[in-house]
Amino acid sequence: MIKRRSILASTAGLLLAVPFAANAQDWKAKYPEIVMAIVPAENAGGVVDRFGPFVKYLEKELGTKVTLRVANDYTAVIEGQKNRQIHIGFYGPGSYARAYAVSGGNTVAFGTTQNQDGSIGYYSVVYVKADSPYKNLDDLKGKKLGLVDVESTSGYKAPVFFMNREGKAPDKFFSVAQVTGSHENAVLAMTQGTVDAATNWWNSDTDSNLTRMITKGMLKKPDGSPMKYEDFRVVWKSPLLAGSPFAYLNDMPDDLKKAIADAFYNANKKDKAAFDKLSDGKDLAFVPVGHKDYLEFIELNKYLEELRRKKG
Amino acid sequence: MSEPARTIRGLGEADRSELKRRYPQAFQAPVAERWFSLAIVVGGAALAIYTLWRFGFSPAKFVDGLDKLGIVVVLMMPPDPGSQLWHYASALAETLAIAFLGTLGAAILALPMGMLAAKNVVANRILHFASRRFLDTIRGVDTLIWALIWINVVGLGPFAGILAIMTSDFGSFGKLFSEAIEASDRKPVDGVLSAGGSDLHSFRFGILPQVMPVLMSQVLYYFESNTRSATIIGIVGAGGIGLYLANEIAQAEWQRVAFIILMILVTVSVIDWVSSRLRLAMIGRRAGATA
Amino acid sequence: MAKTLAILPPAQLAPLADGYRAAMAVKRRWTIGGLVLLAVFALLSAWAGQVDLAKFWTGLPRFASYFHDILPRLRIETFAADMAEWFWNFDGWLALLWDTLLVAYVGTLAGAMVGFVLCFLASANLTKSTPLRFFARRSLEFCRTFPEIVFALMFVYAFGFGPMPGVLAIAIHTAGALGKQFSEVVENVDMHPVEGLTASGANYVEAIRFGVVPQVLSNFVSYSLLRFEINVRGATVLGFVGAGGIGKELISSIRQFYYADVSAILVIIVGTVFLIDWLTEMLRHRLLGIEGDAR
Repeated sequence: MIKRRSILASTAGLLLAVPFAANAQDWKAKYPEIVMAIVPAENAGGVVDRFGPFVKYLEKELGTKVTLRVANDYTAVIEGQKNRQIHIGFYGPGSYARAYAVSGGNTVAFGTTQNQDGSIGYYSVVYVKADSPYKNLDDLKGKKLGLVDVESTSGYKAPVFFMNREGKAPDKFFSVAQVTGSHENAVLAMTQGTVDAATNWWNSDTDSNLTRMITKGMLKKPDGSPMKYEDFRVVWKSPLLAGSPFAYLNDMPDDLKKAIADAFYNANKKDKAAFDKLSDGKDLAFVPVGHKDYLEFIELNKYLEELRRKKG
Repeated sequence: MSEPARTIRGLGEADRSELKRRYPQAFQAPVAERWFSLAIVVGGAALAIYTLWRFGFSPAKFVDGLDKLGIVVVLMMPPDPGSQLWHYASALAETLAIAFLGTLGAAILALPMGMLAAKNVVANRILHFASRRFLDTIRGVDTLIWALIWINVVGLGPFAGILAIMTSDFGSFGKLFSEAIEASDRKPVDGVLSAGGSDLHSFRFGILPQVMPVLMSQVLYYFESNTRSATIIGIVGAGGIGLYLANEIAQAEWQRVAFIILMILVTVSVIDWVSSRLRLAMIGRRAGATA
Repeated sequence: MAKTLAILPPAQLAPLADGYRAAMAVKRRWTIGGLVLLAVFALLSAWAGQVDLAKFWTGLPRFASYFHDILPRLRIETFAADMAEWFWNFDGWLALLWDTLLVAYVGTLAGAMVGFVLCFLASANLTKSTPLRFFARRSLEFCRTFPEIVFALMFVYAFGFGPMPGVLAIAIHTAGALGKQFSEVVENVDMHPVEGLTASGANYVEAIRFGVVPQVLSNFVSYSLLRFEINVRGATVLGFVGAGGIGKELISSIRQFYYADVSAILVIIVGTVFLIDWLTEMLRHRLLGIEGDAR
């Protein structure tokens, strides 16, 4: 009797559950594969290794195939989200603003990382070598500046924007304002003497592109000895920039969007190892953000475009 | 020669002036031609020097750079993939797939196009001109740019690379095929037509056997060249080993760079060898030596 | 037009027909074998290359839409103004284009000179010493197969940004490519003048200068012009990685989604390639009197 009742109960339960299950899996029919695209801050193989566990975690949480795509620059990710082939993209704030504009508002930010000290966001800085005579930006007048890449927020957009506001337009203030291609390249160009100063991203004194390069042993003095953090000096820092956002397609079903967002926000609790691997343990968690947090970057892009036209 | 040869220098003055009188062209080109050649050489050199000045070239900077290059080469030894060997190997397989399918697809699609653009197959002058310009336009856009366009259509990854190579090769093959068809001998065509064959027969049995060896030879040559192109389109995200290469250079991981380059060189050499053997087997030594 | 040819009597025809059938059967077996192999490789490549025909089909409209996106709005009424807007930076771009052409020019020139010197050492009929020939051939091959863009990236690292790394990368690659093409021409040359010269007491250099060069010069120039055309396209691409010129501007516009600029620059590039194509073809025709080969 117990058996019959339990069978009945479980059958009833199943029957009731089926419509719910069907709703929840509705999006699975339309989205058999979720594509997430990342622009590596380091070598491509390293990114695949770094994001591997997290991707597996997402697959488990979403119950569907998740594919990681590695792009060389933000353009591919922006275009991919515009064409709705990439579902989750990872951007800097400036390139996110571009993605939003290009996709007609369909690429929307949903999450960013929280730093070790609880803060959200990061800075753009200008480094010089500690043994150089430059103490602040004015000292660099007429010298050579190494930027990163035209779509990099901390490496190009933010410095150009804020320096223009200070009255020190980079292309006029410096003798050379050269795009170097990557954050590493900018620092390397400076240590090699090709440029006198370099822009870069900076979270804190213990977490920046520079600290990562030093840890990897990428920076050496001419005599071969490794450089230390003290060998560099920060001569300029931008105002706080919003954190680099993950963005998804706004026209995806609401329950899919919620599932993705929740998976991200809970990652540090549900699969700490996978989450920590993403930032070598330097980040605390993913926190929610929305498009409204990035409105100033939309303005920033417009300003830079007008600047470009004026020069032409 | 059984007796020691007399050097021209040993000829008597009389002989020499006689030769000079009879064959002045052999001694010195006419004045107008000499001025023209001089003008070209001087003009060309002036342009080169102007360019070097414009680009800020200086021997000092050059030597400095060579020094740095020397350091890089030293840092490259020994080539070492680090932990990335598996990534590189699968990326290389992807690269080969891109080159192979891209070349094959382009060759198949270009054959009808080549027919269309050949004066002796399609008599319509306007069609001929239009198809030639069309092919030129496709060829004028570089493979890398096509890769960017195709990434738009099918997303990041090697499929875009295959389509990019297919597109740019389509332009090149179309032009090559049409030129080969135009250069073919008329006689077999006439023979087939006079024996009762249709126009299609005349193409299939008259022209095709003539041009097929040359076409295959060119396609094989392009396969090798496409392997090289395929290695770099990864830089824009169209799959293959290019992405890894660009990243390692940006990271200044010279040992890994050296390893990847070595892999590429070996692969291309193998493809080159295979391609040469196949070309040799098909049309023999002299004709096999193409551009 | 159908006319039958006179055919042979059956007794004579049969063995000929049989022989033909046998030969065709062998050929057919080779062809089928080759095609099967080709198909197998094609399928393997399709799997490795993640070919997805469904994706292609659904994505095809985007091909058209991309062109639609980058082309500007040209209206008949405001045509002049629209064109001016489209090419707002025309003189700026033209200056960059000039840089790119110069890069291709000096690169081709330098490469041709180096290739010229090495090609004789790599020719079997002029260099009897096998190790020397081997060394020359391998060096040329290295220069040719080493990806040009990798040279450019390394040179940018060593020499800094700007057009010089592009010039050097193109020069090295050209030396390898032209060196090989030159040596192939030299190997097909008529050796009689060379023999005559050597017999009359000319040394190695003199024999080449007066015996070989006159025969090959027009071919050399023709190949060099062809290479210049290829290098113009190559120089554009090298701009992507920092070697200056119009390529840098193109990639910058693509990256920042300035669509109309992308199409404007593409039009300029394609137009230039057309022009160079046409000019070099004219020059080559006059040099050779026949149609030179395409690539």
